Parts: sequence; C-alpha cells; structure tokens
Amino acid sequence: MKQSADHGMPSLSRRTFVAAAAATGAAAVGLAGCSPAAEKEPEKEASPEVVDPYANAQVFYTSCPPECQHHNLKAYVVDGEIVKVESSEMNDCSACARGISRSYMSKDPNRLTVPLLRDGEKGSGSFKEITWDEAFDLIEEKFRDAIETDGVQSICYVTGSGNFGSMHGPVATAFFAHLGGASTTVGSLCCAGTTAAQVPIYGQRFLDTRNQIEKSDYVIVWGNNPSISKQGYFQRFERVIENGGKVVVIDPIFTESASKASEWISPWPGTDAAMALAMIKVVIDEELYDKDYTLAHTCAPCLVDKSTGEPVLEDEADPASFVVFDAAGGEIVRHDKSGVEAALTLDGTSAADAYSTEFELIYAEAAKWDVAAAEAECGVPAADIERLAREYAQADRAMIIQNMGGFMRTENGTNAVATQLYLAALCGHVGHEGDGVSDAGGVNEVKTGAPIEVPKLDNTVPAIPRFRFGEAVLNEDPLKVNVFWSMTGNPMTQWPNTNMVRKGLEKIPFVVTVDQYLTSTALYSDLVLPVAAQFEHEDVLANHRSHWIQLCEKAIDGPGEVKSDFDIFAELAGRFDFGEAFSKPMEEMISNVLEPTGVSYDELVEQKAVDVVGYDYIPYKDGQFLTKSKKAEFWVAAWKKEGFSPIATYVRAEEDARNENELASKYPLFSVQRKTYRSVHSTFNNLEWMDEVCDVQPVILLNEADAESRGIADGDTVVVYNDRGEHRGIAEVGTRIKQGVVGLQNGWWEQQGGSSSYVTNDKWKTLGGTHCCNQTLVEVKKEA
Amino acid sequence: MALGFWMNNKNCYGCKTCSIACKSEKQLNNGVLLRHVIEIKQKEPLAVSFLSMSCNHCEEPACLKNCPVQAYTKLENGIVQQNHDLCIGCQTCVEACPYGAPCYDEQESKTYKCDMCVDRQAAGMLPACVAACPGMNLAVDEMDSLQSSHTADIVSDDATETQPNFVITVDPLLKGEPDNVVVENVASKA
Repeated sequence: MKQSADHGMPSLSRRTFVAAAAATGAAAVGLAGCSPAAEKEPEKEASPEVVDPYANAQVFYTSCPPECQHHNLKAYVVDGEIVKVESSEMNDCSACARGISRSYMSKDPNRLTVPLLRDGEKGSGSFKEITWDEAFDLIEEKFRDAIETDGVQSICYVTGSGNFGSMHGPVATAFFAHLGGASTTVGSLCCAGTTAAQVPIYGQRFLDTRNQIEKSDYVIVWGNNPSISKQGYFQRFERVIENGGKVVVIDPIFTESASKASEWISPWPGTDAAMALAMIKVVIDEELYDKDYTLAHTCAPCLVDKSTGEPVLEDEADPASFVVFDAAGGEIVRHDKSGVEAALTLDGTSAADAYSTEFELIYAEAAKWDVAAAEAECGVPAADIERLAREYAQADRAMIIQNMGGFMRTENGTNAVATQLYLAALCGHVGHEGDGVSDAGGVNEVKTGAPIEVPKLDNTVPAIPRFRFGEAVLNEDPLKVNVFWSMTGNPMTQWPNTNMVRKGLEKIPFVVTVDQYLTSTALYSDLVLPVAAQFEHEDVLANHRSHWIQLCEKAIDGPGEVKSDFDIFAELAGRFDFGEAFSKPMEEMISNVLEPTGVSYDELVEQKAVDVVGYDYIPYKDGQFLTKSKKAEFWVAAWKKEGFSPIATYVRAEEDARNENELASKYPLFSVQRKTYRSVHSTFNNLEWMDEVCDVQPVILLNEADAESRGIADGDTVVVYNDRGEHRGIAEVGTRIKQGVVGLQNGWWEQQGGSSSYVTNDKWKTLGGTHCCNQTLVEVKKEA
Repeated sequence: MALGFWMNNKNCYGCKTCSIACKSEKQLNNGVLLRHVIEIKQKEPLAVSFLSMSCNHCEEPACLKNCPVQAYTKLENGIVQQNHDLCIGCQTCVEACPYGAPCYDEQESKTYKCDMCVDRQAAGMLPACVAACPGMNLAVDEMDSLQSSHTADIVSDDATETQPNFVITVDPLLKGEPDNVVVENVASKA
C-alpha cells in the first residue's frame, strides 16, 4: 500500500511562519503588563488565562461525502457535542469551508429531527410530526399496496450524489433488490459524456491526474472551474504559472479560475467539439502530432472496412485483433505485430480502395472545421484556435482538465469529451509526468465490494429516463409509479425542467424523502425522514473522487431522533422478512466493501484513512491504455449501435441561439450553469454560515450589452425564462461573460427562490445520454 | 517587534475557508465573522480578485484607543487582544476600526475580535485561518520578515493612522490597492 507524505498541505514548515514566532507568541501570553500599550493603561486587568478549549476533546474522523473531493475531516467532541471540525492530516490538500461547516450542522436548528407527514398541499411546507413507528407502519402499508396493485416495480427509488459512502446508495440497491426489484431512473446528470467516450476510447475512466498538475507546463482547463470544483488543490494550477508554464481556461464565463489563468478563451456554449476538431486539423496539417506515440499507442492506423463501416479484425473472436497496413511489406497485418511500418494514411496503397484508417476517419471529421469555420461556429478567433493547437501539441508536458465539466452537459457533450481524448492521444500527451486528460479521479484502479449482497433478479425492470421524469410519471410510461423513494439527492433542484419534476412528484401518491433538511424535494413529499449526517453514523467511503479509502466514524448521536440510511433500511428489512441480510454488524459490512482493496478493516480502523493511489500516480502510464488492444481505440462501436457516428463529430445543437427557428428567435440568449462556493450541487446551500460569507441570492451573470438592450442594470432583480419555466436572481452586469450568454448558478433551494433548473434543457436522448443543461436558450427581463 | 498577517491577494481564489475555519475554531455564533473575504470585480483589465482580512493588529489600534472599558491590550508580540470578560458590547470599537474587524454578537450582546489565535500560537500551532487556507495564501510572521520576503503592497505604510500590521501581495491585475476597498466598504456602511 502506498502512503502519501505531506504534499501541498498547510504546515508549519511550508509557511514563512517559523518556530521563533510561535515562541514569541508563547512568551507574550500573560505578559500584557509589559506591552507598550499596557504601559499607557497600567491599571487595566491582565489578559485572561488562556484555556485550550480542545484540551479534553475526543477526536473523530470522517469523510466529506458529497460529489466533491471527499476530504477527510476531523471533529472535536466535548460533552457529547461537536465543537469544531477541521481538515484532517489525511488529505493531499485541505478541506474547504463547506466541510468545516459540518461543525455547525449537528447543532443547526433547521435540521430535521423527527419524521414529518404532509398535512397540506404538496409544496406548501405544511407537515405534522409523527413517530418512527407510525412512519414505518405507513411505509410498510404503502409498499405492500403498491406491490399488490401494480407490482414491486411501481416503487421507484433514486439516489443522488449527496453521499458517496457505502452505507447509502449501495444499501438502497441491496434493499430494493431484496424487495423484488423496484424501478429506478436512468441518465447521469453529471458526466455521461466521459463515461460514453473515455471508457471505450481509453478503456477506463475516473483515473486521476491531480498529482501531476504541478509537473505540467501547459494546462487547458476546458469548460470547468477548478477554483471551485478542485478547490482543495487549485493552487497546483497557479504553481504551473509560477513555474513559467501556462494555464488556459476555456469557458463562456470569466470564472475565478480564468482570472488566475494565463489566458481566457470564450466559445459559444456547446461548440467545444468543433473547436477541438479544428485543433486536431491544425495539429495534423502542420504535422505537430506525435507520430511515434500515435503508431505505438493508438488505433489511428487500424483499418476500417469501407463497405461495412466496421473495424477489420484478424480474428472475429478476438476484439483486440485490429489490423493495419504495413507500408514496408505492402500487406495487412495485426496491429501489434512487431517490425511493421503501419500506415496512417492509405493514399496510393493497395488498401486504399477497400479500407480507411481510423486516422483518416478522424481527419475527415476535422477537415470540416478549418479554423475559419471553427471561428464562425465557436465564436473564438481563428488565430487563437491555431495558436492553442500549436502550443498544446508542442508543449513538453501538456494536460487537459475536463473534471466532469459543464462543456459535456450539452448535446455534443460526448463528442466534446472524445475529440479532446483524440487530441491528447495524437499529441502523445497521455501517460507521462505532467500530462494526461483529467477526469474526476479517485480509487478506481482499486475495486471495492458491496456492503450487502445484492440478489440477482430474473425480471428486467424498465428504468425511467431521469431527464423526462415528469412526462414518464404523468404518462405512466414506461411504468406506473405508486411510491417514490428519494435519498442522498434533491431532484427538485438538480434534475432538468423543474416544473415537470414537480408535476411528477405531485402526481405520485406516496413520495418519501430521506434527508437532513427540509429540501426542495422534501417540500413535495408525503413523508420526510430525518437522516443522520457525517459524524452521526458509521460508514466507509471508497470512491472515485478521492485517493483515500476513509473510515467514517460516529462521534455523536445526531439531533433528535435521526436515523442513518442503513438503520432505516434495516428496520424495513425486518418488516419484509429479508432474513439476516440487513442484520450484519457494521464491521462485517465495511469489511465486505474493503475486501477487494487489500486494505483490512483493522488497518482502516487504526489509520482512519489509507491512500491507495499514491502521490506519483500516472494514469495510462507510458501510453498503456486499458482497452482490450492496450491502445486508444478511436472508433466506438457503442455509438454506432445507438445510431450515431462511431467517430467523434460535431453537428450544431437543436437548442442553439444561432439557429434560424422559432425557439431561437423567442429565446435568443444561451445560458450556462456555474457552481458557487456555498454549495456542492444543493448540499450546504441552506446553511446560515454560508449566508455569512457568500451571496445570499442567486446571481444572474449578464453581459453589459445584453443587459443594456433590456434595460437591466447591475443589481436589478431579473427573471430568466423560457417555455419550461422561470428563475429569478440578482443581475451582475459586466464583461465577465460572453455577449449572448447568461450565467446561472446551480443549487439554489425553493426556499431561496428556486433552482436554475426551472429553465434547463431536458433533451433525451443525445449520444451517450448527456444532460443538456448547458444547452439552454432563455430570455431575461427585469422583474416587474 | 510585531506579528502580522500576510495575504496573497494575487493567488487567493475566494473559497472563504479561512472565514469558516475561524468560526469553527472560535465556536462563534451565527452572524459573527472575524475574517472577511471580499470580492473585487474589475472591468479593465478584467479581474475577479479576493482579499481576506481579519484584525490587522495595528500599531495604533483604534479599538484599544476608543474602548471605554479598556478591554483591549496590545501584547508585546504585537497581537491586539480583547479581554472578552470586560467587553460591555457598546460597539465603540466596531465603529472606530477602519477595517470593520471587531464583530458584534447579537445573541450575546458583546463584541468579538480576532486574537490571531494567540492560544494556538502559544501551543506551536498556526492560527486557524492560516492552517485552513487550501491555497496557502495566508501566513503569520514578524512584520520585518514578511516585508522582506514578499514583493508586496504594505498596508501599514500609508493606509490609515492605525498602522496595520498586514502585508498584501497584490493581484497585479488590480489598478487600486485591495485594502482600500475594505476601508471604503466599511466607511460606506457606517
């Protein structure tokens, strides 16, 4: 097991602060009478004795588990209360304000403490308190009714990204499988584009380059804002610049990251694939790609049959047996045969009539986007695209940061991810110190187990497309929903087209939300169950957002009568006679999760957190991709099966302000979502502590030209709207957003004025099933 | 000899972890904030910049000078410390401080002020804000040392009569000095 040393963590040795200063501080305590100020006021009382409020505190560790970096946290408990939370010593960078605010959450008077039963209209917020026994009786009755009338699949459960611990989503999966197979939803809100592109092309995803950032000399931050989403280690990007390198931020918004970067490039939302294809064209035309790497580590020279449109295999039974044309021998040979001169292009060869190479197919897509065409489509000057392509290709160590960025939550999201993967592989920028393509990364090369065995089911339950949840529920297609169970998530703020989500929740007869707070989704629920927070239950977190497998310790009981997700399911398991499956001790369940990792339970209990990735980790090291051929495979069979081009391409999106159609004339502004420092998705956003340090209302970013033509001034209350709905906020007018684009903040609750997802695009289904929230057209007006 | 804070306005990306770490360390009530992060948006050249400021432990502290019950002391090491037992919650210090550093606690009817985590420093630890900053954009040290080790805008030179012990490495994109924005904000609220 690799152990990380202290890397990038604030510590005495890393500061200008030295022991001498500490000694001075120590000497000064109690010497107030000698200070010059005190001499002027000799009668005043001496300073009070310094009492260390944490001297007798018990210390507990846990992980901060929403969809973020999963920092390890340390709580100080005095007299059964959490009095302080700080970033623990087991992190490769420091935890943020949101994690530390957990010191407030256990005593927040707004926490839910008892089960609540709706006694008014859905959405009214009118509930009455009931006992857990009453709640469990009601759940049991509703579950049995649903199973009897329309089958177990009429119970639909959804988990979100509010807690990546193993005792949440995986326990729900096991519970509902034991129940006989409840339905769920399909469609990833965040990073379907990465899954659909990186898994087939590079062989696996969630492999992380974060520890290589500082070794890079050229970093393209493509459509994401690491100052917020990689907040713990954003300083690594700043060090690239301090070391003489360059950081380029591509984003329609001049973000916090862009302000600290070397350069800001602002394309039209959703056009990133066209821009990357234009860069590929420059790189190929000017022969700036890494030919040796391309031949050795990619399927660029592999042949695709012109008549079938399929890659040619030497052996149909061997999916890795791609073939190439050996220019020296003049014959077709297996791609990994040694001593051949594989041809990247077939012009003038005997193979040209029947075959294309993957390289030629990529170039054919790139050729549609010379820099002039890309300038027209992307709104980025041709000279900038050309320069960016050259700089990236020619840099010694160049990295692309995708980080599940907003650019992939568009109609061309999968193509956008894939074209960047093509570019990186062709330039040989994968598998070395300081290069690569950054996904969100964690422990993915280490497999984990399930805490509770999930029984295999014979029946196939149809899944509800998450982006069309409202329509599916209203039309009872693909199934009728009698019971909806929502945990670790907040559909009313995160799923697209909120009004339709709301209508779905209003129609479902029995909606249960399990949460720590009365969330936007809880408002539209029949029963709300108060769940334990971090430091209030036991868990293990081993997930692809952190390099550390972390023990989540229980420090306190939590407010009122809160129960953990596991305890809720365990009680229900008893009522439905699941046998012993949900009555195993926590140690055994944690051990089940750890079993394939090689970390033992005892080791974890002793160390609290174990780094299983290591500080020197390089994904796809030395160009060894994790595909069957061990090479980057550019031609993607799954896309063809879905009816899309098997080579990444770009076609103008349906919802684009330049389209000459009714939608674009009615709603002529693009809109994109951005993240804020006060929340991770919707988690933390309701905390009063966040109100003290951040904006307290949604901010709507407008370009001054767009604002002026609509009579909107900085600070005005404005309404952003389209046919789907409305979102209100305070206008911030200026030049930090591309003209024609509106910036919306993600994650605001109903009680705070409502989510930006009231207007977002609910298209289903694009290539890879990407969420298209950043492909949303709107109009903006001043609030009347 | 005086301890002061250093803050890297050039690299700070505005996460507010310093403010929240302080609240957690000092177990402050809602509404009480001893370290503020202000956002400075500049149009030309385009910049989004952040300044984190708490008490500047001034050479001539206005809080100490104006406190009617002598609750403030300037320690030999330069830290301006409040004896909270003495505070009567009159808020004279809140009004007197050009930086808005002292903060009135409505629930307790008393005022709090940053003490540079004097107790943590005595135990060899960094102040909570400094320890928590993910970007390592805060430090505490002797002013002589801070001034010689940072290419910086030195607040104590000319900003106010109070002679703050606060060294700022200024964002080169900014046309003005960021601490002046704080002083203007405080003045406009008064």
